[in-house]
Amino acid sequence: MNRLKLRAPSFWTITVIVLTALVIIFLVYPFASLFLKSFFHPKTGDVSLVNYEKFFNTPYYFNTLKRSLLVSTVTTVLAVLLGVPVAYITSRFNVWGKPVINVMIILSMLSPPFIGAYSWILLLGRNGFITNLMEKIGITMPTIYGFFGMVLVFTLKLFPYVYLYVHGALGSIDSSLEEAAESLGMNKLRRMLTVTFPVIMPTISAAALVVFMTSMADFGTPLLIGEGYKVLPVVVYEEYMSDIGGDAIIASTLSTIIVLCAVVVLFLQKAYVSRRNYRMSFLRPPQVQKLPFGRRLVLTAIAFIVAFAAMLPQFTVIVTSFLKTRGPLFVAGFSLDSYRQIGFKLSKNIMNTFLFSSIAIVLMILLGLLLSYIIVRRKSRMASFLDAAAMFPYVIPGAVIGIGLVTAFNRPPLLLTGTMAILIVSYIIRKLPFVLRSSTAILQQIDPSIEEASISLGVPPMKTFFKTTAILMIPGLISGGILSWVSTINELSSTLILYAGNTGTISVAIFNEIFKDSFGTAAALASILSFATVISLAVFNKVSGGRSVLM
Amino acid sequence: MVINNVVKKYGDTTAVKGVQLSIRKGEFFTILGPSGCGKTTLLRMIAGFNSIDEGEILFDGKRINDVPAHLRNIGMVFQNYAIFPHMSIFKNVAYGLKARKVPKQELEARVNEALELMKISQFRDRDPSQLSGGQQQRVALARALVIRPVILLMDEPLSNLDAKLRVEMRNAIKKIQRELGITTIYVTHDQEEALAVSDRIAVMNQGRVEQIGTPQDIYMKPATPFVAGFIGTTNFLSGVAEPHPGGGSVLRIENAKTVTVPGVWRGRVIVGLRPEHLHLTEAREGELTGTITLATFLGDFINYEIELTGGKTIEVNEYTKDTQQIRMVGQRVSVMPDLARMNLYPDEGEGVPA
Repeated sequence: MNRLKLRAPSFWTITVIVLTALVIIFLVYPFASLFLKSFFHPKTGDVSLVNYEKFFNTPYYFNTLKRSLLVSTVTTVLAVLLGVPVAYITSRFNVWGKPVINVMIILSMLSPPFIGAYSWILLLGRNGFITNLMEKIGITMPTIYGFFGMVLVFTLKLFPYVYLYVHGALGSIDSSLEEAAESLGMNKLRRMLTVTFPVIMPTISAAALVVFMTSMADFGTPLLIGEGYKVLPVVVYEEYMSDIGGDAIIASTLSTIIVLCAVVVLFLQKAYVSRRNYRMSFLRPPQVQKLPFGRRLVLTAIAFIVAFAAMLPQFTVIVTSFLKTRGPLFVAGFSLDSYRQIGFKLSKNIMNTFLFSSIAIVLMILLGLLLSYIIVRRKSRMASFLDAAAMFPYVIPGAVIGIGLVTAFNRPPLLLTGTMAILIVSYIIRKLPFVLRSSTAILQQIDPSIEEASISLGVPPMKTFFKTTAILMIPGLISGGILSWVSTINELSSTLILYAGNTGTISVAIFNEIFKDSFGTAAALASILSFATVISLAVFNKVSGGRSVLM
Repeated sequence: MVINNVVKKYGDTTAVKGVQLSIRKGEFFTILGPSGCGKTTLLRMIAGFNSIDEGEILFDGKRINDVPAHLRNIGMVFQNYAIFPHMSIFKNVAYGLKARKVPKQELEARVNEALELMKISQFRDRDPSQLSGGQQQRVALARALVIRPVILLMDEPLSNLDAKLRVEMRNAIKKIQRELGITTIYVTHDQEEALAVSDRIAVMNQGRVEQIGTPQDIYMKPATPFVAGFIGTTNFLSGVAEPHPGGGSVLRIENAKTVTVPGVWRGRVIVGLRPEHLHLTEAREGELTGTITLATFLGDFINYEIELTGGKTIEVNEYTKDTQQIRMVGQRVSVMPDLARMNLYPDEGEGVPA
């Protein structure tokens, strides 16, 4: 009798089924078809590598790969060379104004990605403030456009990752390690080279990975400042967007290549770190060294100069937004004209940005909650699949995500192109890996027996989850969510491909205004984004109670 | 409660290999064993957190294999207490009663009673983070008891406390268990704790129960060399025996002269002797003889490490109340076994345990 009774599928079984369906529809289907397309002959439809032959035999395409790798490599090296010393200075010496330096660096990291390019054009571009100033005294500045500009912008934008990761790692080394080296007769420099840096190398490599991936995937910056120096994502975008001569299959080939590069770099980093998993017994935090006045001043100055350079684009944008303009020209004096104009023309974009991002973030938190629980607590083959699938977009550049979605959902029954739904889907796909990483980290710190205690006291499993683990996860998820929200309101790469007339966002508007040479309105919009970012960070600090902004 | 040939498999490994137990009402029953022996797995099968692959578990004659954990009405105390960090002490203890929709007045009365019983009424409105480990343990116990469970399960509840608190808590647990008369299954790897609290003990090893018995049984008459070695200290020596026509058997331990022991033994045997069941004398011909290699004075007794002729090392205790001097390292001594307290095991070809 008992055997005949069918038990209703549990809450988690249903959740796994629903999530798997969502992953298949919105991740596997669009991106598998995008990547697979490149392995078929464009005319005959046979399986073939002809597209890859074309890629490697056409310098126009092949050079973009070389350029992308060069820009990302140089950027990564420079970001490490800039971030590590500054992190060492602020974590080991008693320099002045540490909190200010930290805030400046965090703010520059979270600023809209392409604002850097835009501000440096305002400063050093053809008609830039500094360029014009130098012209007057007879000095011709080297061009900011192309390789040099991209590396400059990326380095200043991305070294904060290195800084923050390394700053954290240096603060959590057990000081007895260094003391041991010292007692064994190592001088300070050799101690640093033989103990301190090797121990934090895994952290440096993790930061370098972020820098490399971001600089390779970004395409707002190269589009603005790269000009003739075309990198992979730019060509992907152009091939896809241009009506005449555009080639969807070569766009798919380029997308596959760029994702493969990202995957290779990711695995290299993982392989490197897996052999260096140092578990440290954290006994005593390292000492902050007291410096004499002179050296203290010099190191403080160095740290502030770097932080200031990183913040410069933000300052520039804010100042520019208050300048008086006539058409594309700036005239003397200050005014609120730019803000009046965007209030008039572009309030829809502003609303869109905050609406879409808010919806996306709420859904992301919910998905992060459920998905991380399935991955951490209900290990199964399906859970590993969901984990891998949800993390996969980490290696897909935004532009490729945009193209994948637009090709997959441009016809019934799933006609999403041009709707706000497709933008929200792309935001969720892009940022979910970050939310998921932070939510699994939080969950791993929650004792599983708390749920068992609740169940043994008579509360069924689903109710138990919402009464115990979910409540314990929410604060961490929200603070993590705020950071994802910040990067969502600043998102450009996929939005630029997916937006339609009435779903444009602030970032899209900035981009278009820059191309129309309306620098004033672009700056005002960018200032609004910066302002929203600062507010969000303040909220984050309040909610998180001092958690790191690195997820 | 009856556990009938219960089996738990994880992939290719079998964690619990057909365990058979029956636990009496009101009994304090301990499952004792080294880590990885399957004791926690078994406890979690009773609680309903691990499925039962084979066999069955019966409460009051009713099979509970398919009853979900939240309907089993079991009180469980976890190794790390599992106090809900987002609820006050009162809410923690009231949690199970709320799930049972107990009316507010009764709920309040029962929670207060449980807090009183555990002597933690003064922490009623505190947050768990403000409590020490021992106090959290009391909360966990109050929370498990307040629902009036059919059985109380405790999974290494004292392992996170320091030595002094551990003794204090285990006495408190034992007293409360007696007072309430609640059937309790207690899991631990600490043999001293098991001996101190239990009515009966099941010793588990590699997924099987090796012996079930009272603490005295298990200490004095360990059923297998494993039990003898796991509970307290046992010296294992090898022997050869053959039945004596006049009853009992003749046994030669190592190379000493033969002795007569009760029971019928034939062939190679393992001889188990505790350090306190050996007596030291000056070296004598034909006895187990060796050299003292280490003497440790421990207050009420002196522990000697002796290397026997032939290379085997054994431990012998001499009590300070019985002896005046401490023997010197290097001294030659003979070791006389207390034949009445000696335990013999057939040597099944696996040799004498180290």
